[in-house]
Amino acid sequence: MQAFLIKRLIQAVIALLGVATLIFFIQHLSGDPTLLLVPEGATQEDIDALREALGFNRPLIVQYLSYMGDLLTFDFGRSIVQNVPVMTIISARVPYTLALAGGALVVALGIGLPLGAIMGLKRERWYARAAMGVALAGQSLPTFWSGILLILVFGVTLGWLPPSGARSALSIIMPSIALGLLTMATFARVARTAVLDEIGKDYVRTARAKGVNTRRLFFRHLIRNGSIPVITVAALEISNLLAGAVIVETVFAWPGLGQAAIQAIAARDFLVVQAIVLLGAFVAIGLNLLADLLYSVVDPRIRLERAR
Amino acid sequence: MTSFAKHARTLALAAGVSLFALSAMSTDGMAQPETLVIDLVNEPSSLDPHRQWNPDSYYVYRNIFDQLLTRTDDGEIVPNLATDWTYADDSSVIFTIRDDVAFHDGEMLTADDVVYSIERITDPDFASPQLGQYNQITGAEALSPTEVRVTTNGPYPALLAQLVKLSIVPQHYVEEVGDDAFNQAPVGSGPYQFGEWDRGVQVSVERFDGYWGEPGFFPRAEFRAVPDAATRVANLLAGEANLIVTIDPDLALQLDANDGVEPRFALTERVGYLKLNTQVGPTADPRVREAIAAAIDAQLIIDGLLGGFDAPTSQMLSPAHFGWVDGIERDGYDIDRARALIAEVGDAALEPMSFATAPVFDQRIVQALQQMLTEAGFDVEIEMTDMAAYLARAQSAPDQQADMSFGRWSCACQDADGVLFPLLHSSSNWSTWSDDEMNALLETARGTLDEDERMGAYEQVHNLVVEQVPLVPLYQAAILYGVDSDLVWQPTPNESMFLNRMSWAD
Repeated sequence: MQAFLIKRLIQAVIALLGVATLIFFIQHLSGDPTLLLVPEGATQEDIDALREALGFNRPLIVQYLSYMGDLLTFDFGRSIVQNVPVMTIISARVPYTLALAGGALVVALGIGLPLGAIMGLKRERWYARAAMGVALAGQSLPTFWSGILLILVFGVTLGWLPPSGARSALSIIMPSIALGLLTMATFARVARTAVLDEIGKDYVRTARAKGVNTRRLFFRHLIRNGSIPVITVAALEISNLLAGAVIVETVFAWPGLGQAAIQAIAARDFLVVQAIVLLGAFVAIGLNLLADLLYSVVDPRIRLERAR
Repeated sequence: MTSFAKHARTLALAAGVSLFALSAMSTDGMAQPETLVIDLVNEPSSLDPHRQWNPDSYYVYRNIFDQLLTRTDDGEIVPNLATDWTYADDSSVIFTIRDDVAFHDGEMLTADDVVYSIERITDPDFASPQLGQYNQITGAEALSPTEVRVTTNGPYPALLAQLVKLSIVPQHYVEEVGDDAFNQAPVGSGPYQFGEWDRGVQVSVERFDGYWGEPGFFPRAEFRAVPDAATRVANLLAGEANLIVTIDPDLALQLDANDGVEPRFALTERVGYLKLNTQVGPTADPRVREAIAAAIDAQLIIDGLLGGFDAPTSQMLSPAHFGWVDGIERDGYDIDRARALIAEVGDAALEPMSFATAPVFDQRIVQALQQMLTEAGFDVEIEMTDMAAYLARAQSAPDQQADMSFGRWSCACQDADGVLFPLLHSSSNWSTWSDDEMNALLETARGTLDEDERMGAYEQVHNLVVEQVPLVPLYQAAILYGVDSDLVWQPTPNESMFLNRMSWAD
């Protein structure tokens, strides 16, 4: 267990350094933000002076080493556009991103898993087929469209919910639904497959022969045994929820990291973009590690020491 | 009482209150809120007025700070913190400062604060992105607590226009708390004081009761960040916002169809134009440039794509600029003439031409221009890059530049010098045009305070542009807002948003 953790930790650090290097060079290859900051008509001297003050006139490798050096001491630098530490921007946004991802996960799991289970257990019934259609429809609607539709119906016409923003507790409902519907279908299909896989196995037949009813069978055995693929998918999907939130956050004016990333990219606010990408990589790596650990909890047959 | 019963009662109470509120609304009409909610595109980049100059920032901070001078809604430069100004000589102006102005923390504003503000924004180490607007200022000194002398690098006719935008910050406060804390919780002398900055969500300001000038009508205002235009419109329709910025003509029409809200617009000092590469490629030939100008039907673009709000222009200025000359005309759209000129030039005119643009511009306009030029017989290829790369290319050596590029120029100063000098003087990094007569005219207009002499020079500049076509001015851009119909407010060419010029209609 310990050896496994240490190995994975080293892998994670290497991956993060790689991501930091990659995003640094991708961004700097396309020039610097000086021209976006100066007013139209600025003279070459003014532009050069600002470029020097911001440090973008230094050789790229010097800028890179300085960035990596700061990173190793957990200094994420300052936003050149907003003139505040990058951490101030990120830490203001993280709670909103987590809340939205959580809300979307509740929608996705809360609807997706029961839907999938029904589709698996009662696959011959018409309503199971209808459920599949619903799940697919949820996944197929582009969020920029379903989002504005939700806003117009529930925010403007009915006036039940705040149309956008994050000023009241109710504000999170619509973005969570818009974002959660995307992931719901994935969960529904994984749950359906997992249930179908398990239901054909010997222990289920034995249990049925002993007279165990479907409800008990499902809750005592199927859920646990079918949860491995669900956990794997959940780890991936949570990363996706954080990434897919960009459009939803923009449509609903939800002040999460996705919205901040878009603004920072447009303004070439390099250090903010780099910090957000690093955070995303960190979360993805962390969630995958967590999923690996959870496998051994739900299924003791999986031994982490031998994981390669 | 059981917990369930408690909840049930609370719920019933809430329902009762809401029902009451609803019935009250339907009988008396909706009470006009005391807080004005304004939906911006993004949150301000900074509230320190000496850092960023972008609309989302200055919409907010120009209400927190005062400037020496301001513009009326009609565009006239009038006293603000400065009651009076006189030219001591061609390159120095003495401003008389009000003695009754208090900052929001109670300290009085003096000439020292004015000097400090000018020195701060022009300090190269401070690295203000706005430095380019004030780089002609060489010094400021306090002659008395109410008198400041500002000196410039020679005669500088655009000084007053630039000072309209220079906010005066409190020296004692900035020095005490430092630049960072000042940026996050600014103290100024304007009609509204900073309230709260809920990062990513909104910035609120509150009316400052000790304001020396016209007090604000609204006790409080909130500026929210709503990046999606359709969402801003939904907020306005739902009554969640009272004023929204930056909508396109289609959304404006949608607002027109609803009761209680309406679009409002102003013709700004932004001019849409097509810049031509006069040094390299087919456009180096003046006949090709003339043909391009003749092939473009600006009015069709305005009517067909821009909703008819924008106004065509034949000079690279708008009537909101000093330097605008009435009656400058260029030959209008004439595709036969364009084709004849192309035939005259021959094969050289048919070579492929690159057309640079960036996503921030309306791509429908760029495509319409391409279509019009293709119709005349040109071979035009659109090259899209991000804005930073577009700007870098627009300032590179002529052989690196595109053959043509679409842009919308604003100097935010409403003076011809901020537009024509950078675009047309051969020394400028933004220009590919190199013409001695043009250089001399631009230098004359920049180097004198005599308004008649300046106007005379600019008239000749406009005529040279019509003749030689280093660029094709297309239209004066409109800016569209959505507002609650009861809001009394007139948008202005300089895209200002002064809260103390707004109120509810009676």
